[in-house]
Amino acid sequence: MRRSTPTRRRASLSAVLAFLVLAPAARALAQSTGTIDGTVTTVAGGRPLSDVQVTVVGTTLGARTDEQGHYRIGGVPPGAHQVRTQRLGFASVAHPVTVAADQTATVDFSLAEAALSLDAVVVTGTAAESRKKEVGNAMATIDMKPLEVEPVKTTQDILVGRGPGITVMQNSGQPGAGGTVRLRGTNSITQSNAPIVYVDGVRIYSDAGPLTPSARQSTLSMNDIKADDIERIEIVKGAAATTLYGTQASGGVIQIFTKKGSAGAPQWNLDAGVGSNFMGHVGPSSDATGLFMNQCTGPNLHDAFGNPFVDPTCPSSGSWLQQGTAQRYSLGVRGGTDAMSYYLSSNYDDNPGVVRTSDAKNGGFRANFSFTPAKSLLFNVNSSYEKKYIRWLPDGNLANGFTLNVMRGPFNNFKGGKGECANITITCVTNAYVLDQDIENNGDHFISGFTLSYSPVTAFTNRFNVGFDYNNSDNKSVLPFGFLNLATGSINSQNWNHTKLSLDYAGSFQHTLHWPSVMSTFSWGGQVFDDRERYTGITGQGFAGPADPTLASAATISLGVDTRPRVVNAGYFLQEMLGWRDRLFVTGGLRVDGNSAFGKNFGLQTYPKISASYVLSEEDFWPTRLLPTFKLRAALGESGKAPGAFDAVRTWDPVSGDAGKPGVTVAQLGDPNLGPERTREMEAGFDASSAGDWISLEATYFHARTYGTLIGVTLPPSNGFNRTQLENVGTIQNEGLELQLSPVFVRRANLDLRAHFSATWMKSSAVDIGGQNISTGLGSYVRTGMPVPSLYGSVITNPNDVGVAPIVATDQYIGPVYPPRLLSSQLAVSFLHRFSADAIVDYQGGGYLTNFVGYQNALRNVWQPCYDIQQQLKGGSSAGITARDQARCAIDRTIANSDFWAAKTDFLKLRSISLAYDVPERLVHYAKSATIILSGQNLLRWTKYGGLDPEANDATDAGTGLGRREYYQIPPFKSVMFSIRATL
Amino acid sequence: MRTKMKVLALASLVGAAGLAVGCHGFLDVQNPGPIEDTSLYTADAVPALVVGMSADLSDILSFMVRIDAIASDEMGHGGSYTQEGLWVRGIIRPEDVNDLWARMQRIRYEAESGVERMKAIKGYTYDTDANAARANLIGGFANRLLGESVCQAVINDGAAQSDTVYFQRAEAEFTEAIRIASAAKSATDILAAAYGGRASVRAWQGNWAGAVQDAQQVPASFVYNAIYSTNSMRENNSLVQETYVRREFSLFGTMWAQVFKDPRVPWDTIKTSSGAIQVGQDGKTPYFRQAKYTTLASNIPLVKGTEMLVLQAEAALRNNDITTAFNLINQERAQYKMSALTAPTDITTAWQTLEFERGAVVWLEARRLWDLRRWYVDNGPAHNNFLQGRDKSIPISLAEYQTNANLAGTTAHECQ
Repeated sequence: MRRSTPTRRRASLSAVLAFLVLAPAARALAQSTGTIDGTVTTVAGGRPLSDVQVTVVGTTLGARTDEQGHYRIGGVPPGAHQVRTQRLGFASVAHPVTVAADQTATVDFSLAEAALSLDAVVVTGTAAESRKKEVGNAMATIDMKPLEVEPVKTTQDILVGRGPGITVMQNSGQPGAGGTVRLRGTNSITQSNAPIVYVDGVRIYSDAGPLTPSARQSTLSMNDIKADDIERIEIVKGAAATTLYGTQASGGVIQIFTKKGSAGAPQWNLDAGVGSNFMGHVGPSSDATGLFMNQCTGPNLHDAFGNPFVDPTCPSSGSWLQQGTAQRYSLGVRGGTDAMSYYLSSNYDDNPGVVRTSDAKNGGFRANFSFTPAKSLLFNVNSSYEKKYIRWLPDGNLANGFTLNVMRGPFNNFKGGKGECANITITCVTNAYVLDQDIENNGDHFISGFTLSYSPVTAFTNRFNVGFDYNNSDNKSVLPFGFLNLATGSINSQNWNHTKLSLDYAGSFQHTLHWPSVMSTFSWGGQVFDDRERYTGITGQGFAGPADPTLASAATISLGVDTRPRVVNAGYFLQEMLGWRDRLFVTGGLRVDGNSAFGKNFGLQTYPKISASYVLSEEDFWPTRLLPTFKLRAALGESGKAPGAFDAVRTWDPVSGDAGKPGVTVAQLGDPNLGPERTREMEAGFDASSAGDWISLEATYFHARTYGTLIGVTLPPSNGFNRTQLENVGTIQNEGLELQLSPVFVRRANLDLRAHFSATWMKSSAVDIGGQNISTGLGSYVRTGMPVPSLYGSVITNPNDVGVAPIVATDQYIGPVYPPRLLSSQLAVSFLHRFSADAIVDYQGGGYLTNFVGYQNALRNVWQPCYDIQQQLKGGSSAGITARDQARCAIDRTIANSDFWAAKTDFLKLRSISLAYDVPERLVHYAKSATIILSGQNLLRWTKYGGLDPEANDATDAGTGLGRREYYQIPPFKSVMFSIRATL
Repeated sequence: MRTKMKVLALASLVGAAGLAVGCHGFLDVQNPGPIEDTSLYTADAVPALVVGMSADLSDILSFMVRIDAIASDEMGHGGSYTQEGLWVRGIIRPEDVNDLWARMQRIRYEAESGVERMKAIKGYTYDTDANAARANLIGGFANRLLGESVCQAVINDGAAQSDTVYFQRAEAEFTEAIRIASAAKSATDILAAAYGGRASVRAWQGNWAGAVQDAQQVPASFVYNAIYSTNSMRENNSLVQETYVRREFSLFGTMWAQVFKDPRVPWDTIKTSSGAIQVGQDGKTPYFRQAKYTTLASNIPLVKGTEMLVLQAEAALRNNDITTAFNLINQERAQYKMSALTAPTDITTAWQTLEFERGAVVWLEARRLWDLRRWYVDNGPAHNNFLQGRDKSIPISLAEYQTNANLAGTTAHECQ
């Protein structure tokens, strides 16, 4: 990271120069205006409240309270104004104020906590800023303020357990590996089900990054947004809410808002932490060696029949696992003048894995500027750069994989070593040589957005955004010269680059109709997204010597892949919202999209929507004493997913043949009528809170159908085209129920105990898939009437019968691949004025996964739970052994079948836990406040799944399909961290 | 004020609509990479079409070589792949051959549709261009590969037919290749290869006289190869990847593991640093490594003069002419600098020798399973019982059954 320092320095210098140039202009503009200042405190206890957004209604003027609850808004035109507060978790309050030129008016606020605040302003899924009461769909908003004491490392961590309908699966324990994020399950068979992601209005690349071949994992670009920089996240989950985003939005939308500056002196925030990553026991609890990971020496190193083996390269600790010392630092500053504010930050993380070579480091900076040259005009320029370096562990379904070779005991691929086994007469493995591989990822992620907001009057708003997202990833896998299994070595180098340029305009006009009490808000806008990707992979073989190789070091070089697809999507939307007496809101909208990947004959795609929300609690007849807040809501809308860049066109691929001559091979049959698949979703529900805001409940039922589902139709292979052709032929559906309950158990000055519970039940099925059984990879299929996707295979029909041979039925339904039941709970407690604690427990149930570690190890007689059984089977007896165990632990390879190892993945995990202590001010020197935090991640897990981890997935095996399987992925490690947060 | 705002809003709306209309041109994206089908109807595209055919023939052939080998005891398993674990036991199921079937059909389609495309290109000298001859030659090899590997034919999503259909098409294509190559310049190799290809498929259709006639056109030292290269991974000989980079297929336990110092059947062992013989990818099977193809650029023969000699020898034995047969066999052995064999007196021994000799000559060339299959059904002295109780060849793939309307109602089955 030392090399990136000059870059940061240059950027910071630019920011300061910009500030110095623009600030005098801002001061000039601020003349002959007034100022509003004040303090915001809590109703309960009168504590100062920071991070409250205070705005002058109808202008772009506003400020944010500091740690002492102070705010100051300058440049306010003289006259009468309304000043309004916004902070998640507190009821919004507006006060009138009259401002005189060159005078300061003071407006203090006292905010009450609100379990459910319908006045909170949201923007995701709406054409313009809207109050939550106006929105007809469910929406999750994550306020990062309470999360400051939690051990969240990545954006993915933030999403875990934060609300119903959000599935986050941690695919691997490799530091730096990205997880799988789904909102309301699966709505597409062939296209990405990942939600689209916006950062400060800029759409970024949101799918998984390129696979690192020998790590068999990929990164997730949303994780490059640092948790310390995030102010809040808004999530809308289904097509009913994402219509205005059009094509690509049926997987939901995650919108990340980063911190902004505020008028006042610079306020510095420092976060520094150090901790430890460690593994604990690996694999079946009955296996003392932890699949030879926890113990790589000693008498337990033997197979089922007692045949011993040794590994003279085992570390002196006797274990391949070690503790990794993690570090985490961030420094941010915010401040500014009345007309211009800034937020600058930088970060550095080092997150080593639990095996010697694995490590993930990243560092970067963010610079957010706001400039208000006039009360109706606001410029925002938000930029961030993050550089990451990952040293991957060779892992997964890989002959040279570390986990695979260690866990296979004597049946590994690294034997003999380089002299270590010379005088050893039993099987001698040398797994340390596996770690000679160098598998690296060097990534750069730059996001920059320029937003112009223009509101000449309150009723008329315009927002124009230009955004650029740059993702670059250099992957390198090197088997060095002298590598045990390939003495002359090899190198695999991949460069992947994805840029997304976005232009986004949205306008709205609000006016009262002639019909009394009806307010109309008409919105319109258009977007253009230009995605360009460049992916090049080259392999070299054979080095002359032991130097750190480049591609040029290799004797032979092969070009594996070079693709440069470009996809452009352009569209516009219109929306009309009618509000009656500020309590009943009906919204209708239409999105029209064109996409360069649509077929030549297809034309444009339209996505309509309609929604309504009714705040019943504002009616006179409503029993407000019982339920002070109650909103009914319903929405019906569509959004879609576009096919790939080349799917519509009949093409041939350029290939080389005859030793380097140009040739062509058949590629895609093409379909000129190809269009996007459309997901139509209906959702209905309510938001309610009880008297005294002791409890709030949000409930939503959703039903989504994807029409014209893009399915890879297999053509008769005898026709010569052996790729599937995407066609709009199917219909799949997904329905579910989401509940979120937020009770406050105790709310006292010295004890505050509250919780958030969320629950999701989902049920997907294929309604019509053109009469096909569609393979989605790794034994998973989409079949009519069954969950999308489902695991199929051979099953034992008499699993619990003892002493009789297993009876096998082939091609049987086993279960859904993705868990249809999600439960999470977050418990937060504050006590003794200065202590707070937080824990998140996450349950995912109903999914199935094939434990290929058990299957492959049992085949080799090194799966400890099979040891006794295999000894008995070898003796010719199956007495007392269930049919399932006979099949799983079979010695006869003709009986063994990986399908028998498919198992439920139900699990309950303590995702995070933390304890924080606010240091008394008298003990804090050189700082305004400080908090000491002790936190942990992944510390406890309960599951009956027999493999390494129920969330594991080999991303390379899965490819772009929906299937998942565990194949020697190192499981997620545990971590504890001690950190200090201080405001300077 | 309200009117002014409405005008502003309307102007903004019109501006947004204008932006949307103006952006329409953005959607016309020319992506690099894949080539549109329509742009290949030009004489300039012919060389690339033929190179592509050659590349795809090589692509499937190096894959078929190992499948044919483990199904016919040329090599054993010893690796970690599931399907290969079945094939080595003689179990070749429709659901396991989707990829093989599709890739064999792809090269057949490319060659046959390529020839039709060439005929349709205005101004292209189809009748005298070596590329046209080669396209027909590759079509012939594709059909021969299908005919020798599968037990039922399907052409362009048609109904199932006898596998001899592939040999008929191959013969027609080899004949067309001979016609064009005879008129073309610099097509000597193509001409000899086409004779060699036609000789084999004529023999498989029972036309042994015609086969001998063609075989005699092929010089004893002639070799026509499927081409491999390290230029790109796609051009690699994948058998080498599986036996040199990985250790998936071992000769251990096969009849060829008893054959030593035969230049036609080279194999070796490698030792670990402790001195033990390296084991296969399964961690158990002693690894006897094929050494016929040692680099990723090792070519695989499609036609050899030596095969033509053993083909003629087989024709002679079918006429019970042991002397002529062994004369031809010894000519073949001489090409490999091997000592001559003494002709046996009994026909059964002569056939056993012939079958061994042919097996050695075409070892790891994806020909053995067909030889075993045709000898298995022979009730005379040529009978070979290796395939007893095993699947005889590759069936129609499950994907073909599931997608071809002309196969609807037909149950997928193995070739027993």
